[in-house]
Amino acid sequence: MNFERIKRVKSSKAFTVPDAIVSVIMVIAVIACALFVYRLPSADVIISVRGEKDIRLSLDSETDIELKHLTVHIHGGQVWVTDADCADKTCENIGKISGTWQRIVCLPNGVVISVTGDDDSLQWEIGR
Amino acid sequence: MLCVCVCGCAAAGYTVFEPIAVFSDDILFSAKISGGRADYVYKRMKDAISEIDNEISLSKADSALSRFNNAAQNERIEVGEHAFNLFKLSCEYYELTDGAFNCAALPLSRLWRVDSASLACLNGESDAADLPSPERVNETTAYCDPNTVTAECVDGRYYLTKTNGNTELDFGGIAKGYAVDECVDILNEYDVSSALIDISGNAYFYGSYIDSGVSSDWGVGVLSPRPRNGPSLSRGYVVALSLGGDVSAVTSGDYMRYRTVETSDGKIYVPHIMRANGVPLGVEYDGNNWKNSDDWVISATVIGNSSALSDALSTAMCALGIDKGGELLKKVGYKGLIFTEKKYTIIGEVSLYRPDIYDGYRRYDYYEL
Ligand SMILES: [Zn+2]
Repeated sequence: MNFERIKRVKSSKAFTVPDAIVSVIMVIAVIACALFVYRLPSADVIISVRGEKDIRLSLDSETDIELKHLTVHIHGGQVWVTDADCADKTCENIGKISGTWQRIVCLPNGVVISVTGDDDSLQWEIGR
Repeated sequence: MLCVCVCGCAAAGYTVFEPIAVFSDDILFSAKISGGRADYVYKRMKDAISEIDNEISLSKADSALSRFNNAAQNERIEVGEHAFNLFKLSCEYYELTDGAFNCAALPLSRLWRVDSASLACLNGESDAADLPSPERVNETTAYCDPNTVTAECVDGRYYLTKTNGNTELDFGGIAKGYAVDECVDILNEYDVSSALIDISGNAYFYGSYIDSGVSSDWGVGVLSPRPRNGPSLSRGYVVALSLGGDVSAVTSGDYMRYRTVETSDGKIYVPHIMRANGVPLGVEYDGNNWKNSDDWVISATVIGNSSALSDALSTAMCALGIDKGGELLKKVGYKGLIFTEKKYTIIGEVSLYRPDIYDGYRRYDYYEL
């Protein structure tokens, strides 16, 4: 053992400016990793047409989908319908939805639009 | 090469067996089995299921149960061990549920045209003309009783005898659960650490879920009972369960098999689940007409050790209603959830998986039992 070196280390300052910078960088890195790993699973938008076709898109997808009888808009984490050709316009009047399991239904055209969570993290489903 | 294979196997963990039709075209058997003997274990399960099916199938004219159903009063019919076991279990569950679970209700299902054969040819819709009169319902209910059947075991052979010529049995209400329990027995014989067995929603979670060598609970979504029709994807999950290993989970509901009937007062729903009074779940007589009740159980999930009992209880809870059904589940010591059109309740310590995401239950009001 080198006693000189031990003495030098013991007498030096415990926490220097470069140490602080390194610490701050490390804390930021850890938080960034944690956010990356534990980021909230994004919700999905499911558009079902006449109970036959299912379209699945991310709620973050920032897109507009022109269906035969109406247009679905997905922007800023919200979903809404315009240009519906149904008589009642119930689907348009529902307005913007964003929460999980909220739903827009256009009965005359058989369109159901729902917001859902990230199902991929489940191992199984029951109740079919 | 060997390394790649070993790593690949370890990473994959489960051998996945895609759904195949068992019992009938619309009943699917799927499995995920860990370990090197997965293929062999799966084959044994498949054989066990078809052995049960051969004894109790109602679409096979030569099955023991078909022969029994066609038999005359006091004619002794030899049946296999599975049919005998299923009958004994069904009688036990009939007593336990105060008649809400009834393996002898087939003539009633046929009267209401909600048995599998009628539903298949009706294609869902019909008019009020074919709804039975309350008198017919009462007449039929009188002989829809498993106590009108005697079961004997003589020198290792099994026999069933009707004391009323009209009685017919149908084990559709517990056959899936019973078959799952048989599969679990097979898993116990081999060195399987983790597996998932499912026969059309009668699921059993064997051991913990293992992902890349790490054990965890199984995350299991319970499909929303509403909207009634449409692809399952758009129905979403009403809730998700976090299940530790060695437990069965079964859901029954009014949305699974039903028909709609056009009456003078509008459309009514007639689900296939029959109550002890001979009237389907959610249907009542107002003195002139059959109509739907204000509120009834639309989905009941049971979590417990025996899949056969869970199967019977999930049906019985729908038939009994939220209060009596919940009390029964408490008495048995199983856990579960019951949803009606308006409210829901939780029985026992059910741990929900990510209720922040799978929050369909928030659309219902919590109801304290
Ligand atoms: Zn519309």
